Amino acid sequence: MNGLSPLVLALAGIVLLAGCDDDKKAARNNQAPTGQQAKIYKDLDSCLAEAKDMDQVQSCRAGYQQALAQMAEAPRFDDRARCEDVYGPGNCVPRGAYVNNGGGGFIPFMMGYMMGGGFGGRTVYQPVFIDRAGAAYAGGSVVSNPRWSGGDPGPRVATAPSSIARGGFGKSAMAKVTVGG
Amino acid sequence: MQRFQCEPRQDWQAAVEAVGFDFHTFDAAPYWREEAFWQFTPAEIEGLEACANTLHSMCMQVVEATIADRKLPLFGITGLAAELVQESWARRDPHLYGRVDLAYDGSGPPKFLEYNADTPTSLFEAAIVQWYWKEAVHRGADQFNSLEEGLIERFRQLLRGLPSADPRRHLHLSCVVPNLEDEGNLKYLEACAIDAGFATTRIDIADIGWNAQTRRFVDLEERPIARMFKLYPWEWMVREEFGANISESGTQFIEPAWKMILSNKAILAQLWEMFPHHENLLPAAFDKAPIARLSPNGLVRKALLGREGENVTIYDPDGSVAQAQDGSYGAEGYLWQARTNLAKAGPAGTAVLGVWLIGDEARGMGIREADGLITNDNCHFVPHIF
Repeated sequence: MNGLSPLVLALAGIVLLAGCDDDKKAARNNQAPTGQQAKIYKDLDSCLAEAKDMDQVQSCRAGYQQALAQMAEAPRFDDRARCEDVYGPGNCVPRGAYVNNGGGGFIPFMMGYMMGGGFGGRTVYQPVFIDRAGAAYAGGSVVSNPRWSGGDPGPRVATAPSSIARGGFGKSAMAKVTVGG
Repeated sequence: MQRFQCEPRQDWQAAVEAVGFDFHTFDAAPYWREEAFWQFTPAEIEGLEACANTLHSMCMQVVEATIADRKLPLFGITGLAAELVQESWARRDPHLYGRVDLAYDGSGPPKFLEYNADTPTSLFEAAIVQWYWKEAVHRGADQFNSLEEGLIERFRQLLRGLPSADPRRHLHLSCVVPNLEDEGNLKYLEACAIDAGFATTRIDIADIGWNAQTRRFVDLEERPIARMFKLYPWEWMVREEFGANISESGTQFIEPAWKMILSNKAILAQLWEMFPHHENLLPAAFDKAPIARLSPNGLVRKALLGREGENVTIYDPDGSVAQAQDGSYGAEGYLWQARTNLAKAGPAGTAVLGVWLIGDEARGMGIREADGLITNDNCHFVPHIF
């Protein structure tokens, strides 16, 4: 887990997001209702600090682990400069910092993690990235954006996962060593 | 043609790594072998080049006839796959490269074994690694290899006439990650595309996204994918979740879907039917009966969609099994082909000559040697000169 130390970077503005009005919004966007609260934490400690019982402690830990595993899906850039164009100077790391055998390329720091907000009430755990304009993303969707409330980077609703689906190619290869011939 | 034993360069690992070859050894066994090389006469090379061009042209005629005569079901190509083949052929979607594998030992005409038309690899070894070996070890000699020039020219053709803002000037390249060999081939093609003037992005095949609103395939930055080189078999793509989105997506795939005809072993039977007794063809059919009497050396049974020597069985003339390799293919059916002699490489080994087509033109050759009769993913790449 090297490379996580930069998480001490301030995580202004992201606190927690509730599902409240989402269902209407989700219906309008033709997306499945989230049906549950989504919360964003800047790190494991801040989740543990809110935990009221052992179940929630477990949930914090599991969510954090799964969000870290999801870093394999983080936006990847061929070079650091292109990554920093999007996420801001100093906010990108070599992919290998998070992903075993991560190969080349750069990805943004995990600036926090989101729990909940999945389709049909399913709990999902996603790493959160913040772009240079301060907008926070999880699972491909913007979950917090300073522009939404006149510069106040306050909490906003978490949307259901974006309309981008991934993983629709590649499954046949899992049993194979190489596809060439 | 002749095979010579020689001393490998003392620092051969460092020498090949210096040109970017990072998959020269698999499981501690060298895949790149320079303790031997093949030397050809110029006339032999000309013959191989002409043979590959002829075979490619015959194969393209089979593609045309197969689609026109609605024979795709013979290839096991039905449903969505058939639609994609027909659409891509109707648009004449451009192709980039392929490798025809030939049996040739210097005597008689080369014989066509099969066409690696959809996902051929060993391109980087043929184009770059053996070239630098020749420059280091046989500087005065020649090599059947204008692959890099060919690839860059071909990529330039793909850009010709496209306005500067056309999204097809951006090429996405995709393969299964992590895989050193496939990624090595992909990176090499990317470098050639960049040389030709493409903007490029590499993406893990599993990272490709589908934007359900815009109905486009997208990359990790959610940019639409207008053109994609994919080192991933078409027959896998069409059966996976995103297969149903391919037609609607507007993405131009390289290789195009019509290559499913060329990469399918059924083409060998169709070739024999259209061009019976052509000197570069081996008798081939879906059933062994019609070709048995034409096959004094025995028969070979191949899975229609088999890759890397999997599900190949070689029979002696008396019908006993000379060598068999199991694998994960074969559900789609089999093809029978007359057995022929491969060039001998060492006491029990054999060599297959892979001639590379870039576009419609033979531009180079790579030789792979197997320890036995079947060229599989344990084979070795051995350089050549002439």
